[in-house]
Amino acid sequence: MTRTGWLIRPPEPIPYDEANAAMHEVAERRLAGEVPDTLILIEHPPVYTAGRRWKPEHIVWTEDRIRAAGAELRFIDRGGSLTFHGPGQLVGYPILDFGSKPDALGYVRRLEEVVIRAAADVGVALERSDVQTGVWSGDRKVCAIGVRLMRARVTLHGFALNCTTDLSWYDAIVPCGLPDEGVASLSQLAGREIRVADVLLPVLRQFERVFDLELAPAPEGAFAVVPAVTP
Amino acid sequence: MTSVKMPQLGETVVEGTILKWLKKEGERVELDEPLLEISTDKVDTEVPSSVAGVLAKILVREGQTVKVGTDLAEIEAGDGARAARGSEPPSAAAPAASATTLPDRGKRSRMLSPLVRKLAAENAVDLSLVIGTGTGGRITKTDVLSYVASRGDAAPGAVPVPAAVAGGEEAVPVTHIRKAIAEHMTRSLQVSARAWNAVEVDMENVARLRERTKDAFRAREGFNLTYMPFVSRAVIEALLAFPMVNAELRGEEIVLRRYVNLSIAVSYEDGLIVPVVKNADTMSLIGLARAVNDVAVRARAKQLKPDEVHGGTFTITNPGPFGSLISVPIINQPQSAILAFDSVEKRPVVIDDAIAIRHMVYLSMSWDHRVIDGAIASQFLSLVKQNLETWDFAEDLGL
Repeated sequence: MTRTGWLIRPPEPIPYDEANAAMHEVAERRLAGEVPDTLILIEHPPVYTAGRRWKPEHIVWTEDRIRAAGAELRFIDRGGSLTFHGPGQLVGYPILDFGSKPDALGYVRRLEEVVIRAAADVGVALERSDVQTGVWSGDRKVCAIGVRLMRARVTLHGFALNCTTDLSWYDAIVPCGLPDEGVASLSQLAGREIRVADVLLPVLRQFERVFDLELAPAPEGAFAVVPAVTP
Repeated sequence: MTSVKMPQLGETVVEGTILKWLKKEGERVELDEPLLEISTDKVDTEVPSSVAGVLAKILVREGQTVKVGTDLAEIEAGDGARAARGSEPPSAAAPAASATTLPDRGKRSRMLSPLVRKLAAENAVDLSLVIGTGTGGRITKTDVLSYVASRGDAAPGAVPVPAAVAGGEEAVPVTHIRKAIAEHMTRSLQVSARAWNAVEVDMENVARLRERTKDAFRAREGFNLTYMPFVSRAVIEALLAFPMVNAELRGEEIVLRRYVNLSIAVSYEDGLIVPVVKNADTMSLIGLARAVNDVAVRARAKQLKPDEVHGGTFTITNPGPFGSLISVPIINQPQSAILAFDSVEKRPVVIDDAIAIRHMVYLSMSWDHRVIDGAIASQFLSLVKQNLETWDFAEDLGL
């Protein structure tokens, strides 16, 4: 039986700290059973985030140079190493309660499936890597995935899909700590512009299918930090 | 005790890495409170405690990767505890519980395991008096053992008596020297406020000199030239400069010495003995080499006179030949400090922003904080280091 959940889709890019706080708040409330499974679809102003497996050599630029370029650097609590979020990238934070038997890797594979199907919907063929998490085109990563399970049951963080992202932002880091792999965007692969707005509905629909959820906009004012607005 | 296991985080997940313990040993943890974080691939997971209690023991360190189901920690269940699924029942607080908690005895007898029957028979336990804490009031091994322990008797075969030697074990008598070492060391830790620090010393000049002269030295003196006299010489000079390190706390007074009686820790077949090189501050490098060799040889031959193991003012121990990298020795009371020098080995070091290969050693010192403070200890070690790195010992050797 399809369950129902909430969708949070702010109309404007939300600074990382604000979104991160909101995500954690939603997860706490999901853990307490106050809210249903929720998908946050969002964009961020330029920010580099370092997950728990970051190493100094994964940050190529100095912090000063990163700030001078107009980006922030944040050290956060998800799995994985370094990644970038910024304009032209669709970021998804699913807040799902997996109950007492979480299938962490199965969850990551399902996130990949959502992105592969959504990309196919806009005419771009993507694939999994045998060894690395994420969604790829050859040896270039188009969608990064990093997840945390709160109390071993509620998901935090999620995926970041490059649509029209300026890929030179990735020069500042070794994405995900993988020096030999590159990055790509849907627009670059398709040879035409595929904007965040173009993949938003495909991602939403495929997410609903893969996770067997029906998402409705969260009630207005349900979250203090992130305004709840429909796409 | 409830054991915390590496959780199964998916059908294909066979192992996980401990990222961080969020609680320390001895710290209280509530039911469902995050206890640690583990990492599998790109997923970090907070693992909540399945029971309220005290984190008794952490079994797997941060950074280690272990298989699903591995025991990660033990929690001593406390008030309001709820035993975790599949975990050991909390050990029974024994038979004082109120009558209402007594399970149905008729049913219980049918659920005894062979092990419980055997334990009960061996310890002459009337099982009707034992409160079961297992599923459905089942009596477990722990229940029987707790009952026996609470009964306070010594029924035949009753549990922990530190007695007979079991198969695979061998009992050796505690020799008088072992006993003396045990008492001396324990007493030192009881009376002193031990602190510790270390320096790394570039021994390249000493190593080269020793390499160049060792054959001639052996031919002339009849024994091997070790690092010991060099370190001793450098230490003695530093002791004269920092008499507080060469002092003894005697009642209400700290007695400083303007001389050095150097104790040298010597290991031999029976254990450890610490002969003293008296008036070591008056000796040249060669004199020290001969004196140190002399007491070491006679210690191993058990030919030391009683007064040759007393009256030391500072001790040097040298575990280096046995492969040790760095040591935390126990102060030889009533002295105030002991210095250990360990393996001299080639290491890459930065010199003038270039990387060089040098003979390096860690000199470490345990010191009594009742007498010495960190600043003095550090300055003392720095001076020893400086002496070893800058002195020209070649002239002293006369070779």
